[in-house]
Amino acid sequence: MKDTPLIVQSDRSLLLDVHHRDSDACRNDLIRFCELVKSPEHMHTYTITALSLYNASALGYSAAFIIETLDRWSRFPIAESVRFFVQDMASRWGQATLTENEDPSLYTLNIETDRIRSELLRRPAIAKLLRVRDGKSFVIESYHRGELKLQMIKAGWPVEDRIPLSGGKPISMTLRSESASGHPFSIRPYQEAAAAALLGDMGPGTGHGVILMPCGSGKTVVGMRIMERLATRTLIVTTNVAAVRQWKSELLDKSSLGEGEIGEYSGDRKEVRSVTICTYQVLTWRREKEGPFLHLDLLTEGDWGLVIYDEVHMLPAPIFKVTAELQAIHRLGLTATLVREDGREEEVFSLVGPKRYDVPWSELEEQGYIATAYCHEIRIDLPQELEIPYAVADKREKYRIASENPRKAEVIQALLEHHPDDFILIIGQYLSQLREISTLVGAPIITGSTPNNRRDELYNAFRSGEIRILVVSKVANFAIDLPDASVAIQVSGSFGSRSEEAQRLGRILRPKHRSSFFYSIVTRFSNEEEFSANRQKFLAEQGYSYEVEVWPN
Amino acid sequence: MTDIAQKRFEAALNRYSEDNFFYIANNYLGPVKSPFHKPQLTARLSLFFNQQQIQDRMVELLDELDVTILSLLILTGPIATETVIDLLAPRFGYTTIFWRLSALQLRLILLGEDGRLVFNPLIETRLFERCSLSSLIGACDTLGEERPHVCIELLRAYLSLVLEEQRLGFRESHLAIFPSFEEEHLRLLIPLLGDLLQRLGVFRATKPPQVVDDRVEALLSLTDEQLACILLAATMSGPPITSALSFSCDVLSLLKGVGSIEEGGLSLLLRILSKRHTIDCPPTFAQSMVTLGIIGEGPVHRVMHLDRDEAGDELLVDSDFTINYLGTRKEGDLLHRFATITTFDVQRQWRVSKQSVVRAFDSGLSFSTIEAYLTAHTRGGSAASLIKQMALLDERYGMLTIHDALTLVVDERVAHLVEHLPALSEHHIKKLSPTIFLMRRDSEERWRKILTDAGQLVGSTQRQALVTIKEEAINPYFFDYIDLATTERERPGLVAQRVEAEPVFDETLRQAIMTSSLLNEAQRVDLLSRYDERLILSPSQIAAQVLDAIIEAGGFDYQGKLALCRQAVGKKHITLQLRIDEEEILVWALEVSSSSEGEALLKALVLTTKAERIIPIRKIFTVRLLRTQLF
Repeated sequence: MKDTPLIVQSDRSLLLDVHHRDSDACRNDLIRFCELVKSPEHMHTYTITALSLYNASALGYSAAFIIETLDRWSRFPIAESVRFFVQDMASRWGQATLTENEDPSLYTLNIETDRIRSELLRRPAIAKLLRVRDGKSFVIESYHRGELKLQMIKAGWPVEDRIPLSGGKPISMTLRSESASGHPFSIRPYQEAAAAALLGDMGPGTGHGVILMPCGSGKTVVGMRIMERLATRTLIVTTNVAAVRQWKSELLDKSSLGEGEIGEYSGDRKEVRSVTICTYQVLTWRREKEGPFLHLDLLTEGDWGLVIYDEVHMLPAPIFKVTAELQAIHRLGLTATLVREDGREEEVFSLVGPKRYDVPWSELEEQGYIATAYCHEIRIDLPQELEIPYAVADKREKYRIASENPRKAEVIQALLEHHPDDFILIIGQYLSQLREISTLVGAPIITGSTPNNRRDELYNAFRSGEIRILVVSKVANFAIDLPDASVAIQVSGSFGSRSEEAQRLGRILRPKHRSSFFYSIVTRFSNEEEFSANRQKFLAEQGYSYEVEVWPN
Repeated sequence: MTDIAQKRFEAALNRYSEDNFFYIANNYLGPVKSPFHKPQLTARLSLFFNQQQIQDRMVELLDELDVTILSLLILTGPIATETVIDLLAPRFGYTTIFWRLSALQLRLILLGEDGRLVFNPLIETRLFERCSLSSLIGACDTLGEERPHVCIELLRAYLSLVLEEQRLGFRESHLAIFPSFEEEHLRLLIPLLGDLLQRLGVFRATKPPQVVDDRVEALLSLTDEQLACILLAATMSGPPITSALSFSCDVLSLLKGVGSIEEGGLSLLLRILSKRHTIDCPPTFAQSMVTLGIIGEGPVHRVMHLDRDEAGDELLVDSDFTINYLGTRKEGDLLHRFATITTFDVQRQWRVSKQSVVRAFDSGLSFSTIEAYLTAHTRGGSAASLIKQMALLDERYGMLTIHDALTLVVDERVAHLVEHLPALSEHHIKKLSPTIFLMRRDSEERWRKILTDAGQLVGSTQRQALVTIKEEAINPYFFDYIDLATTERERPGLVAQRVEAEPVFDETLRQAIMTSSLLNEAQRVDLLSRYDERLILSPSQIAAQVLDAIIEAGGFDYQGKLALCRQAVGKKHITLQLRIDEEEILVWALEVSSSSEGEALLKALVLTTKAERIIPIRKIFTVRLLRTQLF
């Protein structure tokens, strides 16, 4: 047994002992050909997948290099099956290449061996996209580029796409060294590294992918850095109007773009400009249930050189298909939590692009780029008068009764007293409950029905320190930047959503001169406990551990 | 040389047939004129074979087949000639083994004792030193890939899955849990493991299967090799436990010394050890070894290294309640009782869930025990958060308990008795009130008697329905397996490998025979023939005599053939080699008789088939009379 930080398992998962003196050096090597799966407190898990090996090959890392790296860092001899997998998968890269054709409406798929050729022709999902050109190549319609790549990956033959991405119409954009608001501004090293990971050498095979970074670590800045480097017309798709406006204000604050160059495409306004920011909601809006998506063309017809999918884990199903057709332009997915309860994470990778950068939350916390957060789960009994209604209710009603436990109010009040100087968000799922809390604590409330202008007003008041406590529904789950918030009190949530929990924690992770506290109030001995345990899974995998307290009766 | 060895040697000499005894005497001592001085000849032979240089020559002249036969005898102990032939004939051919066994006895390497073959006691130790397992089963240099095998940690992991899944068999999800196992291997291993553990009574044959905790603890306290022995023994339903277990332990003990073994070698080894332990090895035994991962797939089976895991390091509990460790947990470890395996590989990964902890509580494992275990075995307080969660669960668990019990309602006076009578204490479950007790249902008969003996009038139980406790019978010999597997026992004293030595012929002896002026041609040919058969060990044996005159009759010499057959009747030291048409057979002559037509018939035992056959003498083309010595 060597004194090294890595254990390579037979299923190609790699366990990194983060307390080992060489763990940082090892991690730096691993990220070239592995994916981070989870990063709890002590043992981080990476995995070698076919996709991660294709990406490594695309970036020039050979199978020999990968195996040598594993041999060097692994405590124990590596299983033959792992070596074989690395060699096999890495050798597949470059066997199928996609190049331009003399006819601009077509591309050429070049195949290295007869074996691959006959295998492709035997697969109906691929064969239907191909027209035989000669013994070694096929032609495809250019709009099948995404679909072909997706199907070829599924078949185990990745396509090396040698067609450069379209530049789009150029724009002039640079980032400022001092923000418009007068603060010094610079790109942090990990943000630069993330942008570089996506763009690579700007050659074929680069310029599209997903970047995972913790909430509050400045994903918007990464997006802006990539916009600056590409300097092309950009469409930014985000989760809600508040986030649209936040992107806009960030661009105005930190880049050379002016008001007239940034368009807002939302329910309120329909501006299409060099940089346009819209919501997923508006793109997938339609008059009637089976009707056409009236604004989806914005994606394909804006002469965009770059599309940024903010909170890409929220990508709605209708956009999947359009994204498959958007293979000729640069694509960037940004998220903190690529976990979807519908399990479609892989499709996101296939269509937007592979995971290009992922950084453990604990690492940024250690470096001070996100706030240190302490998570608490406070369990409180149901009042006796609700025990029988709870006992006879069905599962969904039970969850609601538990979530709206009126005794949670006494916990909230105690917590508010405990944090007299903090900026506090009280976050919940049920509007009636939130309204009662709002009244009880005398704090304003933001819900889905709050007009956008009123929302902006309240967010700005919170940011400016005018109000210290804000009660918010799930509309504030994502993409709302409230830098000074340091306490979040979660009174209820949408069942077991792991990403919601993480995103809510993310609201208080902006670095500040104090620690952050996340409180989740849960009804004891109810099914809310189980949902809560599931909700905490993602954060537990990121190294957050919940201190459980029982509220005295 | 001990007196005992000397006496055993002399006694063995006296068991040779008269013909063979005098043949031996003539060969080793020179021409013996009178057959009436056997004690004196025995003493002279004893003196001859006690000479160091003679013993050196005997050992130097051993060849590969000799050593194979000797190695076999080490494993089997004293054994009948026929058994040796049965074991080795499939590999070397009947005739070869037959003649070699005869030659070894004429060379006094092997002797007879109680109808079985034993080593010459004068050179026993030196013969031992030439033997090895590889001589017997064939050396095999090919090493296959090391594969995962059954071991204590695998058992621990499997038990946790049985507890979680409430079933014994294979599930597709196991493939992800045991990634180092090949799919086909795992598909066979898991059901076999379940079946064997059920046979051993580790699980009750209920639905869902119930784990018998003290048996599990006993198994988990074994070494990997001891566990493998027990599991292999459990694959044999026929033989007594002692024999089955000794057999399995011997197999593993011997294989431990070799890197790999060919299919034929393994089959031979199993047959040999079956003889040693007088059991019938089931035909599936080798396949069970493969399935348990003790050896790899054939035709050349890699022998896996059991007991190679290092002692487990501390548990590392991560924030997502994954528990990690390397190696093997110590005896008495509790992990499998409250956690479930998620990855069984270089690094073991377990998961604690609400269900797994409740299951542990149900099985009688208390929170305080788990807490103490985690506190003692985890690295740097990493389990604090997990312990807190368990404490909350324990509190909740304690809020409601369902007892399957009988309620004993008494008055205050009897309550005092029930509470303080020591014999009753093990039958109490709970005191519900000063005068109401919950009593065990399964021991009702016993505590009723205790109360009656204590002078109480115990009426019938007021039942709503008759409840009977049905105990599933489980293997009563389980702890015998454990005791036998953990008891130090004598292992076969056969080393795995030795450097093979070619037989060394003394060329000076050959030269002496060739150049001796005392010999006529027939005598020289006879001596050279005995020299080649390794019967000439010393120049003193070069004497003018013919001992191995070929006695043969054939063709039209009907009377000659008949006479040879008659001469051999009833003598096991004479074997007839008959040529009939194109066939050549070895037989022992049993009887010569005449048919009703007056034709002479030989009734003979065909050695290869053990079948009796009646052969008309006129049909025999050649009869050859050969000396044999077989005890």
